[in-house]
Amino acid sequence: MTSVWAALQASDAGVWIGFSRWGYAVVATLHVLSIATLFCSVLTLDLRLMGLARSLDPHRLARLVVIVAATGLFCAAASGALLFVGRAATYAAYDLFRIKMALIAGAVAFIAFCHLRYGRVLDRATPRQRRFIGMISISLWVCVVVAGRMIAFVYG
Amino acid sequence: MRHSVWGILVAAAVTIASVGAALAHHGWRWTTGGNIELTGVIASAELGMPHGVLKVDAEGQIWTVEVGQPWRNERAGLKDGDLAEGVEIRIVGEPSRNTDDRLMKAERMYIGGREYKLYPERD
Repeated sequence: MTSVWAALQASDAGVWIGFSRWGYAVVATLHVLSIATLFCSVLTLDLRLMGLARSLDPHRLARLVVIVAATGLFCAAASGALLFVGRAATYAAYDLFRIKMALIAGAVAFIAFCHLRYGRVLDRATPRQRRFIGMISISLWVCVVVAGRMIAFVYG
Repeated sequence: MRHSVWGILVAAAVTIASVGAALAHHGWRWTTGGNIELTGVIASAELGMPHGVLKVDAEGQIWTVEVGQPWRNERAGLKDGDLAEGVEIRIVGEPSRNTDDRLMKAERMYIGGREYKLYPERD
């Protein structure tokens, strides 16, 4: 596995992101923007699940906000992958980075499971289950952001 | 119920803000404000964004030395191979307030008698 990370780091993309001052700055900025987009749209959906703004029709809300969330997730993953290959071996060895990846997988798997089980807007879940799902979902994403941000500080 | 939801949100926001402030590692706020000098041999070098890191063997003690980003190292006059394993180096910079870290951030470096100023505006 170590050689895979080394090869990624030595690839054109890895060298470009690792040694380009403004390239890195642009991609890091896009990563933050994507996370802001993803987090805020997930927060909006989860607050509705938790019982805020009950008068908003969940189908109508989801029509726009789910697309925004999916776009944010895709762009965050793409920009994140580029930041990763610049220093792949180092990041792959960080516990916090692995925890962050596991949390992202957990958050995505959790909400996929909930939709499969309770329907497109979770209308088959009881109000209590919906509140619980909303809280778990946003808590997981808060943990993702904390784990990601702390990488820069814990490891210097 | 409504109150507990807002309570969780506020608690999460406060936690994130306080943890972020306490551990901030970029910049110079985590250093002592005074310079030290370290002489040793580069044991390993990891260069590239977001910033370069050297492990320097100073008479058996391994120090972690934060050097510049690629553009800063280049601006100081450093060439490929200057910051590589086995190179003898003298570093002037600020150490971490926590001396157990054996961690410092370089302001200028000396290799083979030549000076490389990463932060020309700092003493």
